[in-house]
Amino acid sequence: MNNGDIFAMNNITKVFPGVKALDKVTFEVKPGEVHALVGENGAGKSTLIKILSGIYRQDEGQIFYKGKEIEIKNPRHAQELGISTIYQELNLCNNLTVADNIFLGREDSKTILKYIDESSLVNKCKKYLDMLGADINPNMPVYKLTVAQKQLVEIAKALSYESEVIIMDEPTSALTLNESEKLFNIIKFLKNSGKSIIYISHRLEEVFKIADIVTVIKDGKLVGTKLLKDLTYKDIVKMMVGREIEEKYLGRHTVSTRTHGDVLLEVKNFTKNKVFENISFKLYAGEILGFSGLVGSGRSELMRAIFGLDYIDSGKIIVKGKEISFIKSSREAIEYGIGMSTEDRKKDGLFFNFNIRENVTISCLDKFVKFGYIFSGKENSIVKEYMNYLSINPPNSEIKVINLSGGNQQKVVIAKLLATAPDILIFDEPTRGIDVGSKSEIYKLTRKLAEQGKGIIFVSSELPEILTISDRIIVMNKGKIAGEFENKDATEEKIMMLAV
Amino acid sequence: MLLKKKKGEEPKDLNKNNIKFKGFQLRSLGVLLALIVLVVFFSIMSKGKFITISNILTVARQISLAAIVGVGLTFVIITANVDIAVGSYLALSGIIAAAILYYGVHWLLVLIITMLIMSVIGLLVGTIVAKQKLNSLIITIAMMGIARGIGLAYTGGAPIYIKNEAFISLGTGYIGPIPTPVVIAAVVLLIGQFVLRKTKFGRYVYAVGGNQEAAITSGINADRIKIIVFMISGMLSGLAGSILAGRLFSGNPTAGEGFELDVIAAVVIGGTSFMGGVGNMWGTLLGAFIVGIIANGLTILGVGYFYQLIAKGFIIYIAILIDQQTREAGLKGSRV
Repeated sequence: MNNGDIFAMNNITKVFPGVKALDKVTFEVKPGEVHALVGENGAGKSTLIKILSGIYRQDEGQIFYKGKEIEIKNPRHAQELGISTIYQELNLCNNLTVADNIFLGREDSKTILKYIDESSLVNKCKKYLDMLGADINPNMPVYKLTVAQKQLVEIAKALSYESEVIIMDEPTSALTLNESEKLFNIIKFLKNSGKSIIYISHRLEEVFKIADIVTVIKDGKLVGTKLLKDLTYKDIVKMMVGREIEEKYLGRHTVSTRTHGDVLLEVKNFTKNKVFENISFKLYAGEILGFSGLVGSGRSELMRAIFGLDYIDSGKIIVKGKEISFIKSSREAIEYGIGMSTEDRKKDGLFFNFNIRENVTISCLDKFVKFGYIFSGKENSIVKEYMNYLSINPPNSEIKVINLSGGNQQKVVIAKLLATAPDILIFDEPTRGIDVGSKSEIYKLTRKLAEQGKGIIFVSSELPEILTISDRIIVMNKGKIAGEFENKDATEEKIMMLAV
Repeated sequence: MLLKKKKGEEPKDLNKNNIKFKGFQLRSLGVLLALIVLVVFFSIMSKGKFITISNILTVARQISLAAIVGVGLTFVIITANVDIAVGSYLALSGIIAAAILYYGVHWLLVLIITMLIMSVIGLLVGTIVAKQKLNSLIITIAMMGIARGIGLAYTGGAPIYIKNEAFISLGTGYIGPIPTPVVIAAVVLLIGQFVLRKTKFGRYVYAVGGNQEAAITSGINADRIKIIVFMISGMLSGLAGSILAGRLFSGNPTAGEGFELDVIAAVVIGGTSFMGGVGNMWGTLLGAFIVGIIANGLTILGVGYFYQLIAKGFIIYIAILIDQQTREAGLKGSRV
C-alpha cells in the first residue's frame, strides 16, 4: 500500500446515532504537502480528522502509517505517531499559563520530582511563539487571551511536538489578515521542512493561496482528490455542493431595490470604559448595516451592550422612537423587539442538553404557555414552521442539537431569535465556521428579512462577506467608529485602511 | 425554499427510538434492572421476610422523606448546583414546628409556617449563590453547620415534645391502607415531575443547568431560577422535617444526620447529573427505592449500620461512574 504516503485512510466508514458521517472515504497524505480538506459543514471533514487524531475509531476501513496497517488507539497514540491537531474549538486549559499549556504532560521529566524548571519551559515556549510572530507573554494565564491569541498558542503547541503531520481545522477563523498571512508563511516553512499539513477551511481564497492538493468531501462521501493547479474556484464549489450556486454569492452586492424606512434604532454616545467610546449610529427599517473591523475592535461588546447583556457607562438608546437610558437585560431587549445571535454559538447560543425544538422555543415560550403550562401542540407547530423556513436538516425537531452540523446549529440559533418576532436583528459573525451552502442561505435569509422591513446589524470579520451583504458599512477600530460607507463607495482596501 | 433541495435528498428518517435507547434511556432501564435484581436478591436471602406487604410498605414509608427532599434536590442539581444542608434542614424544621405547636397553633398553619420559614432560608442561600456567585457546594456546607447549630443552640440539645395528635398523624397516620408520608411523597413527586416537564419554569431550570450563558442570552433570568430552586429545596425539607417530627413525636436537633447522603445518592442514581441540564423525578424515585431497599434488606439480614454506610458510599461511586459512561453514549462525542 506504500506509494510514499505518510498516512493513508482507506474506505473509512463512521456512523453516529441517526447519521452516517463517513461512507467509504479514502484519504492519503504525502510528506511535505499541504493537503486541503474541503466540504460543506456536515460533510464529514471534522469526523475524518478526528479519526486520524485518535478521538474516534472508524467503524469500517483501515489506516496505514508509512505502508503498515495500524490502529490509532487514542489521541496520545496519534500524537506519538506524529500527528498534531489544532481544533476549531480550541483545546486549552484556561486557568493555566501559556507555557503550562504548551508543555502540558511533558514537563521535563528529569526535574519532575524536584520542581518544574520554570525558566527553561518559558524559554522553549518563547521560541515557538516567536516563530509565529506572536507577542504573547508565556506566563500569561490563557483565560486572559483573546480568541486569536489562544489559537496562536495552540499552533505553537503543535509546533513544539515537532510532528510530521499537523492538522489545522479552520485555523484562521478568528485571526486577522496579518496573523493569517503569518500563519501561511509558517505553513510554507513547515512544508519545506518535510512536514505535511492537513488544512480544513471554508475560505477557498486561503486554499488557493497555500494548498498543493485538494480533497473534497460531500455528505460523508469522497467527491474527489485533485491537484490544486488543475482546479478553479468554481470547480471546487461545484464539487462541494453539487448544485449551482448563483453568482450573486460570489459577486458584489447589487444595488438594493429596497427603500429605507424609519429609524428603528438609534444609539447615542454609547461608552464603556476601555471597551468602546462614543458610539453613535442609526439603523433604518429595511436596511442591512454591516459592522466591520478587526477582531477586538469592540463590535461584539457593543452589540452585547445594545442587547442588554452588559452594562454601559454612558449613552442613550432610542428604540422605535422610545428613548431609554440603557437596556437592562436580554429579556427587556427581546420585549423591545431586538433579537441577537451571538458570536460563539457553542458558548452561549445553544443548549446541548436540548433538542432542536427546545432550543428554538426557549426565548418565546410565552407564545404557547398559559398559567405556566406548556401547550406542546402549539409548540410543535411553531417549531415546524421555523424548521421549514430555514431548511434545518435533518427535519426532525427531537434530535439533540449536538448531533447537527455547524451550519444547521447556526440555523437553530437564528430560528430561536426569529421566533421572538423581532424588528431589529443583530447577527454577530453568523457564518463563522459554516459551509458555502449554508452561508448562501443565511445571506438570502438576511435580505429577505430586510425586504420585510426589518433592520439588521451584521457583524463580520470577513471582508468579502461584508461587501456582499451590507447596504451600509460602519468600521470600528479599537472601540471607536473609524468610518462609515455606503456599499457602492466601499472597497476592501478602504475598509482595511480604517480598521487597522 | 432558499435553495433548490439537493437532488435525491429525502429527509433523513431518524428513528426516534434509536436515539432514545442510547445513553439516558439505557441508564433508566439499567436502574430498573438493578432494582429488580436487588428485590430478588433480598427476597431469597431473607427467606421471604423481605417481600411481605408489610415490609414493602415499610420501605415506602422509609424512603418517603428522601423522596420528598429528593424532588427539591433534583431541581437544584439540574441547575448544576447542590444543597448539602438538607439533613440539617430536616432537624431545624422539626424544631421550628415543635416550637410553634407548643403555643397551640393549628397544625396546618404550623406546617405552612415551617415550610415558609425554610423557603426563606432557601431564598437566602439561593441569593448568595446567584448574586455573589459563590459555589453552592461551599455555601451549603456552611449552612449545614449553621442550621444544625441553630437547632442545637435553641433546644440545648434536647428534643421538644409534640402532643398535637393531628400533627403526629402526619408521620404516623394512614390514608386508607397507605401511610400518610407515602401519600404525601407521591403527591409531591407527581407535582414535581409535572412542573419539571410541562411548565415554562421547568424548561428554564433545564436551560440554566444546560448552559447558563446561553440561558442569559436567550432572555432567561438565570439568577431568579437559581434562587427559586433553592427555595423549593428548603420548602420541601421543611415538609419532610415536619413529617419526621410527627413520626418522632418531637422536634429533634440530631435528626437527619447523614440524610443528605441518602438523598444525593437517590438523585444521582436516578440519572440526574451534577453537571446539570439532565434529570427527572422518576429517576429520583427509582434511586430512592434502591437506596431504601438496600438499607432495609441489609437490616433484615442483620448487617450493621456501619457496613451499610460503606455500601451506600460505594453505590454513589458506581452511580456517578455509570453517569459518565451513559452521558457520552447519549450525546455524540464529548460534552462541550
